[in-house]
Amino acid sequence: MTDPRTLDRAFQFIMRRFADTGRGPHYTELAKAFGLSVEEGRQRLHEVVKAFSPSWLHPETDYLVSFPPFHNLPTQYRVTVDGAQKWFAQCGFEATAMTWLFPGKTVRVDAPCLDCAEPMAFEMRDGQFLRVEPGTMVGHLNQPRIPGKDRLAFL
Amino acid sequence: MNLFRGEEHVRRWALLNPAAAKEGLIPLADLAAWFGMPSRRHLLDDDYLSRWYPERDRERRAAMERLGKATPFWLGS
Repeated sequence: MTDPRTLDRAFQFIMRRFADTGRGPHYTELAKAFGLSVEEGRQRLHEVVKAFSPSWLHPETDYLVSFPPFHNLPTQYRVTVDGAQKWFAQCGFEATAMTWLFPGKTVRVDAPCLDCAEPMAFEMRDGQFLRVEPGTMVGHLNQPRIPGKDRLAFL
Repeated sequence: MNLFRGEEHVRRWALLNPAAAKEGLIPLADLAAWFGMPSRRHLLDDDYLSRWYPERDRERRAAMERLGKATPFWLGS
């Protein structure tokens, strides 16, 4: 079993890669960054994903899909920082946590409404809303929470 | 876990679970408060996974209690 400090370092490598580039790393990059064999890198990725819920790999693969608040596949929640739209939020709820990954910066989230496809947007800086359009925007959880199975809420 | 332009848009959503039509609603400001708790603010800390991530369940319960949503729907169990 990998010690907590080692998992902490792997976690930060992944989280910072998302914040810097908008994409998560492949396990070969984890291996190279930490001086591991490729197989050890793959196992390290699995360990971090298992320890950090609700993150997940694409089913039956070793490809990282979700690492909240980030998402490696496009979602309707497009995130823009410094004029660059490089990020996607895992869900609408996690979109409000994006601000903590970009301290001191204005973080804009754009999304279409799932009912009408009309645009919505909000901007935050250091946890404070700067702008919400429309002002009536709300969040919605469509299924009851099942502890340990938080991923189900996204399906 | 989605955002909508307003409550009426939730009610019109083609995939709405009728049982969640009302209970599943949460104001955007409440979401930001929930997702602004310490376990989210420290995502870039070197010891995040061992130090802050384990706080999430306790924080979720505290947030739901403060928001009047400490129900099986929001907390599970």
